[in-house]
Amino acid sequence: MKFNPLGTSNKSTDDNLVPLINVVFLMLIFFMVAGQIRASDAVSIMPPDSLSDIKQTESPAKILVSTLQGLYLNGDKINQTELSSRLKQLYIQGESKDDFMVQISADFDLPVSRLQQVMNEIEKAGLTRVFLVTKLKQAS
Amino acid sequence: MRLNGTHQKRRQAISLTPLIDVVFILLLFFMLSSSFVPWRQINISMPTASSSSNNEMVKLEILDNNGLFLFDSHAYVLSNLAGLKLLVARFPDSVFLIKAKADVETGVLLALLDQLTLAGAKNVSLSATLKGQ
Repeated sequence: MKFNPLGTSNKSTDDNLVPLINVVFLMLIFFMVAGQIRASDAVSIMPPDSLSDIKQTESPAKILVSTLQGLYLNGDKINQTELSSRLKQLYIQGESKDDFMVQISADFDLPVSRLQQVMNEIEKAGLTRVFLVTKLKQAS
Repeated sequence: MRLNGTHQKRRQAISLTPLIDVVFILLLFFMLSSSFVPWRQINISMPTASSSSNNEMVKLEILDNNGLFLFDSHAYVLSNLAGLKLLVARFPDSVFLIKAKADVETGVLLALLDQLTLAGAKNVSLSATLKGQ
């Protein structure tokens, strides 16, 4: 008969952790499968809803227009006056000139006049392919 | 020297604590880097030449943030889809140009775009708004 000497036991002291690991693995698998890994924007933007279902693609020029927090290009805060020249620089340095697209992420409550100003700057830089980022409208 | 009076023959099984550490770090990484917003995009490219001048153009102007817009001096409401369908049916092949007053929100602009598309309009363009005409 197998007697354990006093003070020793064969029970692993970590058995209490198994349910914890189960839950944590489940959460990990959920996030791995359901979420898309994406770098977050420099400033939080709430995009407008739209029924458009064109998936968002990577773009060499990402403009963020926030209602309260100003204008950002590829993560750097800039003034509206510099936008046109920086875009021209990006276009010249970019590899694919034919499909150089500019992506604008605007807040849903951004006044149209500010969007117009940004579009004017883009036009001054000579770029015509512009996309506006939206969120798929969920049926309410 | 304090020796164990008894000789421990069995070593402890592999502890699970480092496993939990690694798994927590992975979980934290995925929690922070995943985005659940269904992102999409809309093409608002500006036409290079006046290529659409052969089609008839219907100009709509949005007046306020509640969806009130003006066409041909009549006021319509964005939420009235039936009314929009009638409007669209009067001009089946024309380009709908949407303009808006300066303080209208971008969300309302896109809502009108969507409603017109739902009502059956085939060509809706935001270029008039965005060029500041």
